[in-house]
Amino acid sequence: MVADVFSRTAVRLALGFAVLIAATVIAVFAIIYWQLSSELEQRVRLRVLENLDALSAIDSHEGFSELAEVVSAEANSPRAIENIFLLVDKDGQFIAGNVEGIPEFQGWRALKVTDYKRLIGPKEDRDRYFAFWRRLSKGMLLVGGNDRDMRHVSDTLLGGLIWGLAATALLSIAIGGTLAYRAQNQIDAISTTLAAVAEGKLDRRVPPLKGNADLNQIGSQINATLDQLQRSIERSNQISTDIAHDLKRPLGRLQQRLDTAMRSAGTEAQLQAAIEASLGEIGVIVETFDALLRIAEIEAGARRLRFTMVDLQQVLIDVAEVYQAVADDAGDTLISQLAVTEGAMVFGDRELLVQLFANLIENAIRHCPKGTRIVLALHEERTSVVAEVRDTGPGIPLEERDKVFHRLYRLDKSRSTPGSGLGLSLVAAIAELHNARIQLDDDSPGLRVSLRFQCGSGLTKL
Amino acid sequence: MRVLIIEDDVDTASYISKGLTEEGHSVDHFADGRDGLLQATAEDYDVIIVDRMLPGVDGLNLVRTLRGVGKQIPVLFLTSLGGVDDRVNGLEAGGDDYVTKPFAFSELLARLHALARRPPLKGEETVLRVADLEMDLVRRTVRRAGQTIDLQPREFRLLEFLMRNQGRIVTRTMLLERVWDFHFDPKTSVVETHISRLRAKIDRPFAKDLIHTTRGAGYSIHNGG
Repeated sequence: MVADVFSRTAVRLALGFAVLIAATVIAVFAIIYWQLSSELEQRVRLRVLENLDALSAIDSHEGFSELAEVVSAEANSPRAIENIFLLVDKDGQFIAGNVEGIPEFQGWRALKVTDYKRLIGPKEDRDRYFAFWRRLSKGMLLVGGNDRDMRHVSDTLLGGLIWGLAATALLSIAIGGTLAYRAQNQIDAISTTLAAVAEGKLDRRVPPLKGNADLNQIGSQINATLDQLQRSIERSNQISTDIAHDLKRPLGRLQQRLDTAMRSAGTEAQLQAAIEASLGEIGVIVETFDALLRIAEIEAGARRLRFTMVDLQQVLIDVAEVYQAVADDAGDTLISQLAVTEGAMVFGDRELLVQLFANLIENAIRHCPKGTRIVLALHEERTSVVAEVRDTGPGIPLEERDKVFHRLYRLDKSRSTPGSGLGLSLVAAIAELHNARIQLDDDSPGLRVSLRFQCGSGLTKL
Repeated sequence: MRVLIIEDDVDTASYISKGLTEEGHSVDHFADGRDGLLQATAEDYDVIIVDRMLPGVDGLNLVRTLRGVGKQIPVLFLTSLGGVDDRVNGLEAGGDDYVTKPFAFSELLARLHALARRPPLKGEETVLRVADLEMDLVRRTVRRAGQTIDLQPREFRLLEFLMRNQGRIVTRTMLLERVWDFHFDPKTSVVETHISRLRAKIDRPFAKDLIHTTRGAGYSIHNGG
């Protein structure tokens, strides 16, 4: 459980931040300490030099013996706690002072209690003395100033540092813990939801989570994905049911036909007719399967590997040429309005694009009454080519426009015409494969199907 | 014609075999790809029917090998794989045509006839003839009984395909594929419409019809009954 806690991102983050903050605090304290102590050391040295100057002045103005008097007095005064004094003659023999036993040295030196012998004052002393020897007329004078102020400062700083660090650590752990706890709750909520979904409860969703915006975003993303998943599962369930339904009807008819043929010992011609009709029913079934498989293949997207640059205008010209006569025979009119001058190159599969437009035109011919005017149009926009198939037929009610792309969906009024209900699904699948946006609009009257293709090789990025 | 069937599905094989024998053709059948390949290289056939999925050597490799050793016998692929890519793969491997199961025997037969067309048109024949109908492939003109007939480019292609297969039935699907490059089954009477337009130009003004319909099978152009 402990290892578990430490493997959590939030906890690790919190600890990481705690270490970082501690390091920062220590660094800041170190800088302050360094600056303060050098400043204080400077002051101590100044004090020592002032003392030396004052005492040297006595030596030069009033004589060495007067100096010895003064040093002796200083050594006995209360100020001697903060300073050490040592006056020696030319041979280094003690004359006056509160310490002894310090050999001559050049420049500054920090003296510890072991470096000298205290004559007056406390024998135990934790202070260090910044000391300096100065040569005088008849001897040498050492003055040292202690670093007690510096020690106080560093003690204070150290105390502050410890408390600061403790507070930082506590705060970090508290915040980290809270964050980890909250994140854990949210992650638990997400994983519980996903586990439930995996068990088949497709309607479960991640509850909205307070606090962590990132996790909340992931939560809503998961919910959106689950919505999509649920929809597509429901759709595929629906499709299975629809396929079963759609196939049951022709299979039922087939069974009846064969049964009748078997039981009524008819003439050879009658039997022949029954068999032919049965083969027709089988043809319908096979066709439905073929269409389903083709849609599945297109949706799998492998055909993109065979994409080439295709002139959409030429595709429409070819399709129009084929269907002009078909429309004429059906009592309709097919008109091309191709407003593209230099051809409209799109990246795609010619065979499928032909099928797409053939499908749309056939839909118009088959589902519209005689005398319908069908327009096949193409025009360019800034970065896209828009192909349209318009008709003056009954159109598709607004609320059904989305559904017509679903597999096996058929408008009630088209139930009477033969068809699998897969034509527009195929159209949608082909459009999607080509990254083309498909839209159904009311052409008042009639239906307008428009397909917006990206110009040129814009699709190569797929 | 002499047909070699390489197909591991016994039902399909005997269905084809029986049909072809009844039509007066001679048929050999092998169920294993390797045996079939050996047979195809050892003897001469007019056409070979190859299933895509075979034990031993699969159909695609079989045909690749066959082409690799220089055998140019026409090959018709048979498959239950209905995918669009499968057709292209089959043709790329060296197959000449492709029929997806389930299929009508008449469809298979028409395609076999079209494939096994022997001997090929002598040299670079530039004029096709059926009775008094004449098609000049270079000038792109069509005449019947001395009268020039005006055809749309697509009608010309349709007539050309019929005339190149004269005396043989071509199916609706074959016409869709070869004339219009349609690799799907249209829901409207595309073929019927265009055949009837063509008839209006080729046959109606004249005494004798040349384009014939065989119910449930397809169309053919010939000078007979």
